[in-house]
Amino acid sequence: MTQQYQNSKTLLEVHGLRKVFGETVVLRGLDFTVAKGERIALMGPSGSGKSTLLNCLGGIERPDQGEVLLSGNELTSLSADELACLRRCTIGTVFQFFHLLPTLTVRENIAFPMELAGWSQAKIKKQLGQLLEEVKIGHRAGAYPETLSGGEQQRVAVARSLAVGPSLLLADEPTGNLDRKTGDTVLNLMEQLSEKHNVAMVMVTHDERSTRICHRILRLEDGVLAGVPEERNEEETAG
Amino acid sequence: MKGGPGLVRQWTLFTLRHWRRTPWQTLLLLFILALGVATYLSIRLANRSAVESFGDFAVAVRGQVDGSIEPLAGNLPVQTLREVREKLGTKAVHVIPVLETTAVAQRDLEQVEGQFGRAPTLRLLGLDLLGIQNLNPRAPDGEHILSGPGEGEEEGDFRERLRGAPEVFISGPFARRLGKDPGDQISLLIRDQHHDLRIAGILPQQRAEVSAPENVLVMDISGLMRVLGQYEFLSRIDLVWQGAEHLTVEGQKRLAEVLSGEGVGWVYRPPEFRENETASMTAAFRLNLTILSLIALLTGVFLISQALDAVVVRRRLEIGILRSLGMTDGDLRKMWLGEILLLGLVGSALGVLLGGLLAQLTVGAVGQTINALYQGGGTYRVQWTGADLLSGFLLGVGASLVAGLIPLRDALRTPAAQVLMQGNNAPGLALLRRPWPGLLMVGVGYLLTFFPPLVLDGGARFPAGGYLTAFLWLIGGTFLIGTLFPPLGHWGRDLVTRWKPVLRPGVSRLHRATTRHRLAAAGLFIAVSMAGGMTLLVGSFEHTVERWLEHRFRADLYINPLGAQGAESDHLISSERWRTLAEKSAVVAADPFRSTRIQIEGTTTFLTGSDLTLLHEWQTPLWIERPLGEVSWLERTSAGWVPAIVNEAFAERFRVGVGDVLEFPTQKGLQSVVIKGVQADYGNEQGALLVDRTWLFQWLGDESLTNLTLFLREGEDPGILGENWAMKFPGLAFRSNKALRETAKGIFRQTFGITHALKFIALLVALLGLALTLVAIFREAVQELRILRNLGLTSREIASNAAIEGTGITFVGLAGGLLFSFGLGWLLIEVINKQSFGWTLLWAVPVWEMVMFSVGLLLAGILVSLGTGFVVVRKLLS
Ligand SMILES: Nc1ncnc2c1ncn2[C@@H]1O[C@H](COP(=O)(O)OP(=O)(O)O)[C@@H](O)[C@H]1O
Ligand SMILES: [Mg+2]
Repeated sequence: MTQQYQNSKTLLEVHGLRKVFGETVVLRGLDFTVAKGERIALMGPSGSGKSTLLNCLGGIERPDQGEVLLSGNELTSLSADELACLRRCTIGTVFQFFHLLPTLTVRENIAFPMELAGWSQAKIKKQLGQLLEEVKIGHRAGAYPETLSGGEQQRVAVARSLAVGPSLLLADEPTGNLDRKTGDTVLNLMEQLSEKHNVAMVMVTHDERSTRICHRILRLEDGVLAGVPEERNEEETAG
Repeated sequence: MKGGPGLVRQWTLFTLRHWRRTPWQTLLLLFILALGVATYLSIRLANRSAVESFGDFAVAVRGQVDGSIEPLAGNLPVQTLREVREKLGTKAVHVIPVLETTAVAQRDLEQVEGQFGRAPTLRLLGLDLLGIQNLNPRAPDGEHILSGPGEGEEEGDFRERLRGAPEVFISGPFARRLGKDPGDQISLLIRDQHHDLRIAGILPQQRAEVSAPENVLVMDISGLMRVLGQYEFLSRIDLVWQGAEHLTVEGQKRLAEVLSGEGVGWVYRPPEFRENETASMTAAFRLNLTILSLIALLTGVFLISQALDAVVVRRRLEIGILRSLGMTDGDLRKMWLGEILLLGLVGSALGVLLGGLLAQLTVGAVGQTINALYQGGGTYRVQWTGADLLSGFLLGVGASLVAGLIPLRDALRTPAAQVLMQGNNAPGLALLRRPWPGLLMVGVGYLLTFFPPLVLDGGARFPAGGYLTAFLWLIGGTFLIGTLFPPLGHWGRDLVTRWKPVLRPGVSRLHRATTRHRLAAAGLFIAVSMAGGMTLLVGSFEHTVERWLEHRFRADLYINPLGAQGAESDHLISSERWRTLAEKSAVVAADPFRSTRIQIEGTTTFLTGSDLTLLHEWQTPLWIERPLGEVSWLERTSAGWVPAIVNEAFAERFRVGVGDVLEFPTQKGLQSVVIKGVQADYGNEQGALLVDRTWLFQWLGDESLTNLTLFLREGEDPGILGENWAMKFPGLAFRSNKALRETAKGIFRQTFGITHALKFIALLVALLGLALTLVAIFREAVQELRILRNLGLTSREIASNAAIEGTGITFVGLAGGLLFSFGLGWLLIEVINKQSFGWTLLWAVPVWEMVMFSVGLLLAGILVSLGTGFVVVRKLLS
């Protein structure tokens, strides 16, 4: 499955991004861009700073140097509240350990971001129906997360991350805790939905196979990106 | 890792390092523990100090006796001395006459500007000083108790001195307080007259085991008789065996046999009798305080439990890793207990220190209360014993261990680290989620209210069933209130959907409340129920007493000897004096009142006399049981019985009612009375038997009064008249109706001062506990808080979510607590109070106070939750 992404419109620009924790320099000046709707795999050994980079993109960590531009907004210049607002409306997240709110039902978990965005009940209901359908979890809509299987939980997480129609999806090892078959289902789902709603995606993964849904791979090593840019189709060796 | 590390190694390797990492939380935990121990200790110390200063002063001054001869009612005629001597025959027993009365120092009176009952009462003891000199008392340290003949003074001179102007020995602290030295004059108000006496010397304060009787004054008995102007009566006669040792119990029995006989107005009492009696007088009161402190401790245990639970949450990862490393349940349990042990030790040590400080304050408050209730006059000081320290420590460590049980269970359920990493939450205690144990406890508790009170030595009654009920209800309630969470969450859910969706996660967490939420609510619940129940009791009490005061005090002017505080006072108004007053032209009617202690069925109670015909003409008693038809109080019934009224406490205590006949001995022989009515009386819990004063005067052979009540002619101003008369009768206090009520209310407020203090301590501790639990709850939910941040909630919004949980917990604790406080209030008023004091109280709900209290607590809860929320969000999410 070869993918070549051609969309000249830039969604995310990173310039000279540097992040230091105390003595250790985790990110030593990164530059890259992500186009609208583009899916990027972020790989690298453990501890190389992948999660830190995602957090910087999501405005959870503040870079020590450099800038992150999301749709032309300079993240470092935004206040904490403005960053929160950005996460609320334009960035979706999916994690390895699902991270659903345990006290909310499936339906409530997915609807919560829409409520936050101040949507009307009618609109929420409509979108909810569609999302439940798309991630095929409608039959468990009233259940609490703890009663769901891992794959189901992650499908709910994906639905939630896309609920309010973000333009960027950040995923940190979304299949890391799933068996291969279930993982594939989730990946397919993510690709499908990203395609359908034109959502760009930065996905951290350890599994070369998962990169098949991505247009490009970024490799992070010793705090720098190795051999940028690396087109996914040139890399491909096995199906 | 079988066995795990040793205790000390474990402390240095884990416990202390954790403490250093979270110093504030650790301090808070230690503080809660310390406060529990301190409350218990301070009340214990205050109690003992109060009892000691209540002890027999005479014993403190002249050493142990082998028994006394006491009057059956009123005083002993002097000729009893001869009767006793004759009965004893050649037995080697010293017979020491004692005359005891009360006095007030003029200086103290001036300082309180003559305010009734405010000046410390002094106990004035008349002893045969010469006789004591000769009997060579067995003072343990060999030192003579009274300085007797001064240096270079011959015994003959001493005898001369005793015959001269009356002199008084005073205590060192008292001398220092007044700034007096031997040789100076001291101005005293004794009974209803002023006297200037020379200070003969200072009483040595030599006995450590008896609280130093600062308020005891000693005179030679002949001197005191001259001062009082009465030579016919003694208070009692002390007996001292002449052998080298004290009398054995056998010996006392033989003495009792020798001294028993028909028709005498006195009785032999073995030495411990007086001790038992004084101890039992305050027993009910002290028991109440102790129970209060134990209930406070119960709150403490809950809070410690919450705090320890927080510790488990904080350590969950560590526990998980230890488990992965192969630690068994046994190892983990040992480790946990070791940690609690250290916590208990350090917390108790702090508690003992804090308790010392608190005791100083509490002793004052308890002392005042006892002085007001029982007309003591003691000064109170705190004295520590090894047993206090030990019990404080045992309690602290014990409470921690009990409190650690729930968290321990939780800790043992922590899975190995691998599993834990996947975001496993602790299951918590399933028991707290079920309502039926709570319902069972509430039911059993109700049945226990039907248990009759236990009767203690000396007649005090202890409502064991009632207290057990309180305990069961409080524990049962903690199971039940958890059921409030789901409906609260449900209701809140609808609210947020419409109003503030940002709060949905917080509300949904309330809906599915964990054990931890329930525990936090339980701590508040107990504190609120206790405080609420107390408020209801005090409110009803106040209301009832006010109504009673209105009924009871209808006269215009009330006259007491200055310095007298209650029915028990030995201050009396002499017969000539009160007759002079009663015959004044401004007076339309006078009610003379006399009260004296008597023994009925071996229990001390009061025999009182009043003008009963007048009583019914001028004021209405609050009847509990009315007399059937007209009673002529001055005539014996056809069966030869004297008609009498008893108060409610008497009826409860002796289990009697209208129609019952009582017999009791007086100096003028055996008397029989028939009870014609039972009236409410909130001034007395030991019981009082009321007959017309003419009977009492006959039986006592004395017409002195405890107080006199005057009804004035229309148009007379009681205030002005009282002031005029006070000039002419300097030994008497004249108070108008209004002033008297104020005084009574003042005493009442003083009595409940300590209750209010305890209430606030409990609430303060509960709020601290709430903060601690919230920290634990949020720490456990840190993953969820992170999700919220990823979903785009601002710090403020995340903190509000945290606050909504805290507010919900406060609400549940408050709502449940208020509900139960009515149950507890009922229990305190209808069961516990009824059984221990025998008073019927009218229900009164201090609505305003309860509302203010609820609103205040809710606000405090919201503030605490918000504060904790912000701190936690800042700390955990940065
Ligand atoms: N909050 C933090 N404080 C200090 N060091 C951190 C923090 N977060 C991450 N690090 C360090 O940054 C490095 C990169 O971490 P991370 O981004 O989680 O790596 P990964 O690529 O495995 O996701 C690691 O060495 C980690 O120790
Ligand atoms: Mg990572």
